[in-house]
Amino acid sequence: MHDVAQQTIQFIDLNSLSVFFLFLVGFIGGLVSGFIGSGGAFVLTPGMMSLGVPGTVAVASNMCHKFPKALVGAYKRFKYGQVDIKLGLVMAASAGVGVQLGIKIQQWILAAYGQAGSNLYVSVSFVFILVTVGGYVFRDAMGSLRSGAVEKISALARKLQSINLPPMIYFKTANVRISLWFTIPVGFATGMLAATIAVGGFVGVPGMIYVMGTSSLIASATELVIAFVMGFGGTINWAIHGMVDIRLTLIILGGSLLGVQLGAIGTTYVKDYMIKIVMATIMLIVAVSRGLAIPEYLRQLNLMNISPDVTAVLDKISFVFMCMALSIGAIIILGSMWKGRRMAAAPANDEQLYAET
Amino acid sequence: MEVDGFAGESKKEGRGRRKILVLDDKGIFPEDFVEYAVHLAARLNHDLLVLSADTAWEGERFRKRVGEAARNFKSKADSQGIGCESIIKKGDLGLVIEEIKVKEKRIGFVLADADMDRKKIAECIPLPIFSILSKNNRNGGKIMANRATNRKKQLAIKTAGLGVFSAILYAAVFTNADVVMKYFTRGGWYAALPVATVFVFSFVHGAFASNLWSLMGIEAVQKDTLREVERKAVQKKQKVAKKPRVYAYVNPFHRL
Repeated sequence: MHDVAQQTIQFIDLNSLSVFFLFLVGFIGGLVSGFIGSGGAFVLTPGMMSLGVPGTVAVASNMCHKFPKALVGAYKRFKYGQVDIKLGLVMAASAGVGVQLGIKIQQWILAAYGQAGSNLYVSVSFVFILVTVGGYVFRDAMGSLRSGAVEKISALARKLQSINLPPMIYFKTANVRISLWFTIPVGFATGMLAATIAVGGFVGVPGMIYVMGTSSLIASATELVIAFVMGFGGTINWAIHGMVDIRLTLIILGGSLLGVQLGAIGTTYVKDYMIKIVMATIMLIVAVSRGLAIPEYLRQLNLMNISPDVTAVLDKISFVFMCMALSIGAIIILGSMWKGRRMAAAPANDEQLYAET
Repeated sequence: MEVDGFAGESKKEGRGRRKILVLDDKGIFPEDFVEYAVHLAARLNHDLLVLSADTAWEGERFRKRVGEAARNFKSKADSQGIGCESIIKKGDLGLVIEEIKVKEKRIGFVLADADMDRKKIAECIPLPIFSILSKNNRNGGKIMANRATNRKKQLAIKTAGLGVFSAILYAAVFTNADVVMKYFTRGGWYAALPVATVFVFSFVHGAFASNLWSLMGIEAVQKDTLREVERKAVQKKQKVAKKPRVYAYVNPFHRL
C-alpha cells in the first residue's frame, strides 16, 4: 500500500530561496507560537504548497515540525511557571475526540459537495469563527490596554466556576477550580477547529481565558501542551503513510526552535493583554485573507458568476494577507519585547545615575 | 514561587536560637563570605538560615551549584557548632523573602552579597541588612564578577559546541538526502525514523537556540504581574499564618 502511495507523491527539489523562505517563515511562526501558543501553520501549509509541495505532504511536514516546536516552547514556558500540564492534558484528551469528529464532518462534506464544497466549508468556518472570537478578544484587549487594568476573570468563567458539578478539578498553576464538564466543550471545539482550519489554538486559548477563567499567559502556555499532544498523534498518523518530507520539516524546525524560545521569553516582558492583542490582530487579518478566497470556491460551485482572472488575483492577495498577519504579529511581539526590555532596564539606570551624582 | 527542597540541616540542637538570614541569588558562596557569616553567627550565638533564591529560573543547574556550596557552608558551620539550614526556592526575590518571613519568625538580621538588590530586600523584610563585599584576591577583584565572566565564557563554549553539533546533524541529513528520503517515507514502522529525528534535532538545536539567546543577553524577566498566582499563594499562606485573636465582649445591659 505504501509503495503505491510512494509512487504518486512528488517530493520537491530544494533551492536556496525556498530554504531561506521556509527558515524565515518557521522563525516567525515559532515566534508567534511561543508567544500566543499557536499560529504559523496557516501560513506554512499554503506557503509550502506555493513552492510546489503536494497538499498532503505540506500538511504532514508542517505537523511534524509543530510538535517538537510545541515541546520546546512548553518546556521553556514551564520553567517560567506558566504551564498547567494537567489542564493541557485534560484539554488535549477532549480535543482528540473533537479532531475525530472534525475529520468525519470534512469527509462527509467532501463526499457530498466535492473539493470546492470542502474548501468553501473550511473558509466560511475560518471567517465566521475568527471574526467572532477574534473580534471579542480584540475588544477585550483594547479595553484592558486603555484602562491599563490587570486582567480580570470573565463573568461567564466566574459563573461556571461557581457551579459545583462533579467531578470538580483543581488546576494548580492556573489557580482554577472548575467542573470537568465545562472543560470538555472547550477542548472539543479546539480539536474540531484544528481538524478544520489547522489552528485549534484560535479557539482553545480564548476558550481557556473566557470560559474557564485562566489568565491569558497560562492559557497561551498551556495551549503548547495541547499542540504537542495533538501534533505528535497527527505526525505518527502521517508518517505511517510516508507523507513526511523530513527535509522541509528540519528546515522549518531550524527557524522555529529559535523563534519559539524568543516568543516564550517575550511573554515575560509584556503585560497579559499583549497576548490577546497579538492573537486578535492575527485572527482578524487571517479572517480577511480567507474571506478573499471564498469567491473562487463559490465560482467552482456555480454559486457566483466571477471571472477566474479576478479570483486568481484575489487568491494572491489572500496569501499576502496571511503573510501580513504573521508578520504584523511578529512585529508587535518584537516591539513590545523591546519596550519591555527598556522599561526593565530603566530602574537600574536610574539607580546608577543616583549613585554617580 | 516553587520550593525546590530543603538541602538539609546541619544541627538540631540550636533550634531555639535566633537566626541570621543569609541571602543568595547566584548559587555561589565565596569563601570569605562563608567565613564571615559563620564567625559572625558564632560570635553572636545565632544559627544560620541560608536562603538561595533561583530568581533566573535556572532549575537543576542552580540546585547543583547550591548543593556544592551549601555543603561547604554546613561543614564550616558544624566546625563552629552552629546550626545551619539551607533552603532553595524558585521565583522572584521579594516573594521568596516574604514566604520565609511568614514561616520563620526568629530572624535577627540579614546578610547579603553586595551585588544583591538591597532596596528590594529592605522592602520585604523590616530587619537590618548587612552587605558583604566578597574578594578573591589581594588586588580586590570581586569573586562574583569573575565568576560571572567565567560563566559567560562557559556559556559561549557550550553554545558553540551545540551549534557545531547541530550543524553536523543538519549536514548529515542533507548530504545523504536521497537515502534519508528513501527510508523516511516508506511508511509503516519506518514512521519511527522521522519522529525520532525531530526529537533529536529539537533537543540539540533547541538547547543551542536557548543558549544563543542567553549569550545575546535575551533572557526572561520575572515581573510582579507575572507572578500573580504565586502572590495569591503567598497571601493565602499569610492568612493561614495569622493567629486567631481573642475578643472580649461586654454586655452593657448585664446586671452586675
